[in-house]
Amino acid sequence: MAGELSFFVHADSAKTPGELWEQLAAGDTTGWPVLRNCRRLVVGEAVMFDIAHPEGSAIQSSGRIVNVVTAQRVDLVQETPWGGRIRIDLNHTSDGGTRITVRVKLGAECLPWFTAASDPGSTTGAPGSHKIGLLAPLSGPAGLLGRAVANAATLAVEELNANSAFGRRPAELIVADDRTDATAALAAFHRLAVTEHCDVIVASISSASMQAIRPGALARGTLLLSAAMSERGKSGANYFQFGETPLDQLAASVPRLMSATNSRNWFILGSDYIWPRSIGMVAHEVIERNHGSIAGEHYQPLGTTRFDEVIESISKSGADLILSSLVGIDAVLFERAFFDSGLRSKYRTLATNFDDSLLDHTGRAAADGIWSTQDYFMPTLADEMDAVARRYRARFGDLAPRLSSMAKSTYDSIHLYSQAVGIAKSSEPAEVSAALRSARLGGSRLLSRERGEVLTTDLVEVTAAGFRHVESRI
Amino acid sequence: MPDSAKMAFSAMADSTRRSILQILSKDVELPVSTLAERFPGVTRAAISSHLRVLRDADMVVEKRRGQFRIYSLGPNRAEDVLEFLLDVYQNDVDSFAADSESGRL
Repeated sequence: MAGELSFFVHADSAKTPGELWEQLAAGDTTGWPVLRNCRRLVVGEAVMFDIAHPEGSAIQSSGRIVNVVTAQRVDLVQETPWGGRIRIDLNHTSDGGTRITVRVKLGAECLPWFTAASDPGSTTGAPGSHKIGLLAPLSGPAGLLGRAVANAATLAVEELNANSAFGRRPAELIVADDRTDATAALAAFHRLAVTEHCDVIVASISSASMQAIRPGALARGTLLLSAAMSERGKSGANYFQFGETPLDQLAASVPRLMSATNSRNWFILGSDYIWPRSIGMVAHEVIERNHGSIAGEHYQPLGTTRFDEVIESISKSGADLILSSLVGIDAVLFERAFFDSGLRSKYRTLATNFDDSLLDHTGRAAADGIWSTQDYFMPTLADEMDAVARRYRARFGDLAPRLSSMAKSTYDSIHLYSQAVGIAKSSEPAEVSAALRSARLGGSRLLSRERGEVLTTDLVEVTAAGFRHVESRI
Repeated sequence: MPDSAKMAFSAMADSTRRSILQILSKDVELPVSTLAERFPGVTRAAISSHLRVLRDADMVVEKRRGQFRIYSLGPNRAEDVLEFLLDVYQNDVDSFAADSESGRL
């Protein structure tokens, strides 16, 4: 493809390709580029890997295996922080060893990702387009959640353009990575709002990032739609909160799990920032209301990688149920460590941030029995899929990260925005906000939640086949 | 990252601009009208605006020849960018090389 950036790097080994492959397939992945956290060398396997920024920091990245040729080749799609393709070839050398060659083809987002922090003033958007900014985590602890969100936003914008939703102004999606970091979120918001002059910003970010950008959005009058699950903060003139609230997620799922397991002692575990703490606060109320008790509670900073101490606390606490609001990579690493500790079968876990991407990275075996509750889970079977899930799969393929609740909420938010622009006949934030609050969009589920209604969510359990619906709309 | 590389990164963040550099690396010198013909879906004004960004980053140079503006590759080359990206992934391969030297891989 013209303008594509591709290159390769390589290294040599004295071992034969067969010997190296045997090590790799047995799970001895230490030292391997890209594959060092890979648990199974099979098509569809999700892989997390750090690559080193030449200026020192690690770039937490993720991808998925899309092709495996025994003892010869592994192909991966890089999903975060930027899209791309990575091919690892093992070739015989003349001295009986192996040359491994890593070929990289970088997607269009890669270069802007590197310049975003140091040069927020460079615009990539096309003049004259109707700009829809998406603020989502594509790196950092929550980075695993971002690709499905970016895909869903892409699908929504493509659908709007297919229907000429904004007349002669084609919609253009501009994605900015908040890097699960408040400072980076502020820079990304600045790029979308000030440099690109986005007509609307849809944000699927942590509440810590949201707290960082809210004052600027308020001061500028930016139309800001929050699509991620969050504690219910105060909405504002041009600020809407569409994601699940802690009460949506916990009101029915907590008593269901207590009743299904005939257990009542909970250990509350979460990442240490606003949203998980809100989950904890609401959990106290819901658990007490249902005559349960809290045997322990622990919050740890985002980016935690070792969980030995908290696992020991859980095992000593006398709890038999765990409520986890760990986020992103932290949730994956905890669930893997918990499984490796041999305690998985002794506890039931309700995990509020656990979506398909996190399940993929944890692995079904390690996550077996975890319950999750969110507004939406993409059906596993093709004939059970709703229309959006079918279109998403047709657009991005079977191996793309599945449509998560946060991704679906982002998709719905963009379509709702387009309807409001149609009613307002304007993209002025105040007029679009008024349309969003008008009775004409009264049937929207997102707007019901925005008005403060407690909505039902789906309750699922991890099985060998993926998420199984325990109960819909509990 | 050196300033020249930063500017090159920004300039190369757009696929049309990367394509322009690719064309100029083969055709050496071209007027804007000929460049614009290679991008049927892009307006000439947009191509001029892309060329301005590339010129500001010293990735192309502009010469006047009569009434034409002629573009060719400038002193700031894409090599800086590629070298930087190569480093990103090379670091990942270095651990393989180290383990290979120790005989583990």
